[in-house]
Amino acid sequence: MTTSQGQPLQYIDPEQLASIGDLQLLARTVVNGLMTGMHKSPRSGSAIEFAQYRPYTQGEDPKFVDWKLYARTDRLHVKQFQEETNLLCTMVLDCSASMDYASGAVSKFQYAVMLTAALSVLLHDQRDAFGFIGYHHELITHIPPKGGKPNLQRVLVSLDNMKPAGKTDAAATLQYLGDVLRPRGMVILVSDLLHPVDEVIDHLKSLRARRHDVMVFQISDPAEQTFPFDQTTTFVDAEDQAERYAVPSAVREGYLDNRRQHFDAIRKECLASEIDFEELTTSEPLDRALHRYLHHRNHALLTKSGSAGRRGANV
Amino acid sequence: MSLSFLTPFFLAGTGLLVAPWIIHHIRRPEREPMRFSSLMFIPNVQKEVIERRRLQHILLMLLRMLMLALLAFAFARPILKSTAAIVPFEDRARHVILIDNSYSMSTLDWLDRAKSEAIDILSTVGEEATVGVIAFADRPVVMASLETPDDANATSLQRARTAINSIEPTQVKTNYLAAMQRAQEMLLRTSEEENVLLTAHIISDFQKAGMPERAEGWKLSPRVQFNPVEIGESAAPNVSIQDLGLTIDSQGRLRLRAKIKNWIDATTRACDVTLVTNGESTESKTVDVPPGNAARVMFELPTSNARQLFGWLQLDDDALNLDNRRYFAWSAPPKVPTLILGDPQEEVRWPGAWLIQKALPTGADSPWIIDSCDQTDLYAKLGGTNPPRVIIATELESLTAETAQRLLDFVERGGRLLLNLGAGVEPDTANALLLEKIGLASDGLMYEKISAYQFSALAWVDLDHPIFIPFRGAQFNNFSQIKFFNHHKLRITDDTTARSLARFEADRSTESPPAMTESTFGEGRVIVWSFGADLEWTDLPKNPRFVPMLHETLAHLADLNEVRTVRIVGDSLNDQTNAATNGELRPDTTSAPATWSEDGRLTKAGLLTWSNEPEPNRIEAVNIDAGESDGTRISTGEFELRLCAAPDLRRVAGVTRTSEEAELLQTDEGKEFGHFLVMALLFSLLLETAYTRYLSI
Repeated sequence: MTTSQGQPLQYIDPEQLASIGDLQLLARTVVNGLMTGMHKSPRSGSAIEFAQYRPYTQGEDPKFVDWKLYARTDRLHVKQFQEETNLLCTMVLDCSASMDYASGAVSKFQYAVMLTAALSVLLHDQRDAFGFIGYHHELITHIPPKGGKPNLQRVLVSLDNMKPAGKTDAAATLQYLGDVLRPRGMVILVSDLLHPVDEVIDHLKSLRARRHDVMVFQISDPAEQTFPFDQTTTFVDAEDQAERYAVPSAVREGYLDNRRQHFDAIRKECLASEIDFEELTTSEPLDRALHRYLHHRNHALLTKSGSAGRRGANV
Repeated sequence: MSLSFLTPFFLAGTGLLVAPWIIHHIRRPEREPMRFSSLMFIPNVQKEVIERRRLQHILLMLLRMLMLALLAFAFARPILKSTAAIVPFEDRARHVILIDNSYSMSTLDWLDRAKSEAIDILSTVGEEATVGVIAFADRPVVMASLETPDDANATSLQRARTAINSIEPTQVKTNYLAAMQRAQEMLLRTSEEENVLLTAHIISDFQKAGMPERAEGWKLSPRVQFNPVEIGESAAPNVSIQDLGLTIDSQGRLRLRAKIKNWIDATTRACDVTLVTNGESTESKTVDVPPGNAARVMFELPTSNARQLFGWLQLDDDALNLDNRRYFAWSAPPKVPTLILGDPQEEVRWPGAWLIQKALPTGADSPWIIDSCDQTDLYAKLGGTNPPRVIIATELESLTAETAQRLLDFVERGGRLLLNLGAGVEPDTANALLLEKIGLASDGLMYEKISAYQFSALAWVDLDHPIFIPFRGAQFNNFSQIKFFNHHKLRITDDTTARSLARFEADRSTESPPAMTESTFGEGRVIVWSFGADLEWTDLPKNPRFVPMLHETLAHLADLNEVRTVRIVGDSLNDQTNAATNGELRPDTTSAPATWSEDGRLTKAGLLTWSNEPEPNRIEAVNIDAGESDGTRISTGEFELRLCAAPDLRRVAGVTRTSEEAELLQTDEGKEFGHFLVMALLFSLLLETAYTRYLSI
């Protein structure tokens, strides 16, 4: 994989990223050279940058007719411009105690914070409006979508102050989001999705029903994916402190089955509702994860806009 | 049946049984609970599973405790002992007492003390014990067997006591290895039961000279307990005569040389050495011998007209007198009647027969009695009063059938023949009449015409053959300069005893033909030269090697080079006493006769006189082994190290040191079963390993 300049893409190890104290610097490091100018406005119309000419159709506002072109060609053409931005994006970060688990040097929460920060910088660079919601069993922070550098600073400071704790109540947060967000925005949920499936899916579907573009980043730890333990011990739930005695060799198969069923169900529902779902592992380089996801999303939306003609732009 | 332990203090090790309990309950801290993101995917473990797990851990703990218990019990060496009546330990034992009666034990009263020690041993063994007695010097002699004779009225101890008292000193050297092997054979043959205590007691002065240089890995069986008893003091003063030899110098004087060795004395000792010749004391000398050193002494013997001299050298008495006298005997070498068979060569100025005759000395000092004849006189010479022992056949004008047959008969009866194949010998005739009988064939002459410019040379000489051994030096071994202007192309036929002693160079068409061969025929030997000895055929007679080679050839044929055996007490005479042709022994011609046993072994040093052929009245000296005079000893520890199994092996084999241990082992049912516990321990270890892996601990 190469950058647009043809240079080999240098991925940054999450451990090295986590060692960067300045969250803005961290996010900038990830975003630099990754996706600048990649997404377009969802609507074409009047704006600063010229896009194309098209023949005038009757009933259109004559103010968009290019009269100079008419003088030269004796035909009426409408001048189209590409609008830079008018996206309202809200990033929703799961701050429950389960996100604090780490089998290596980087916890899921650290990884999620870095991801959210990188997305914030990415959206800021696109001059999009973006907001942020942090939650666990209750809403912690809500920064409404807004453009500009002060908003970026506000989001990053808020991210920096987040501490994982408590249980998860994603349903209440998503329901709140549905109430407060204007339609046709974008919602990015960053969570480990260790909740019951039904209530999460229901609220995500309701967001889609309000024509929000919904993306789900599911953060996993490598130990959660393989359950590599070999010592018989008592496992303690990070959220409710419940204990369970287990022989890893005996329960490993059941654990992996249960986990696979849980996330298969979420993925299936997301697919049915046109919700983008991506699983990220804390051992995976963050920029590579972002790149992989955005590439995939770009391709999917282009296909979608070509077939439905509903959108003229990608995110 | 009751359970006992040989080493019960190891049972204290059962206290370690508490260790697994500590490991499982106290010393093993509870494993830290592991914080995990969510338990929603981890299956819930049922309570029964946890209970089963706890039970498995208890089983594991018990298994480990069992292992420790097995270990402690195995070390304690448990045995099952019968409660039936126990026979006392001493009464079940078998002993073999080995008493050294070599001539070094003749020092002072050592042999009597050895007997006394043996009697003491008899008093320590039980009344019902079985005791065998072996007297040993160079070979063991069983004086009392472990098996009870059918007609024996006496007990084993009584028979052993009688045998000990009957042991006499010998003049033979010591051999510990043979004695130990014989003792082991006796003990193991009569004791198939494992729990019978077997002991070999050896009573000796433990001379170092008696130890074998190579025991070839033999060790006393671990089943046999070893009890060494040392006799005598290592510092007993002793002087002996060593390395006695007779030499004749270039003036024909006979000299007697010997070394007087002062073995142990701490001070220089003045020794009077007396020469006794033919029964009369003829000369005496005094030599000073430093301690631990030796001094040489030399006497000149009168040889005027004497064909035989015998006698001995005598030293003063000391602690060991046997080595103070050493015998010698000398006989003038016998003269060999030698016949040179050659036809007259009128036209040749120096015929081969003439050259050979001139090369052999005559006179009183010569070993040869030279005579010569032609083919017509051969029959008369062979049937004369002094028939030849060696015939040199050379310069035969033409070999006749009669001559060839007479020569073959002569050799077949034991005569020796040196045959020169000269110009007069026609190849086909020689093959048919003589050569084929001795495994040879002549393929004709090498050159049709003799020329000074064509000749053969020797390419190889067998320097390992007795004839050529004296020529081994670099200044003598070059035979390639000798020119052979003609010779027979000799060939050794198949399936023959003939062998080549020298070979000519090989030309391109033929392989190298032999120049000299040696064959046996009947009881005699034939050496064939494939060339004539005259100067027309070879310049060998003009070569400096000719005379020495001729002498060595004749000496080899006449067996003059044979070394006479040096006789030592203990050697066997069977090979000669049983052979009628070698004569009989007549012991009474000297004042110091040697003696021998019924089986033909020499038993006493002295002088032997032969009465019959081939040398009537020849006297030989018989001496004791010089090494036995060396009083240097080895420690009993080293002796045990070299000839006995390692102590650990003896323990493994059940050889016990104390009567208490042996009593525990002596009953038939007293089986030690610690090794089964060790096997069970190993099995438990495997089980524990597998179980631990199964439990994922």
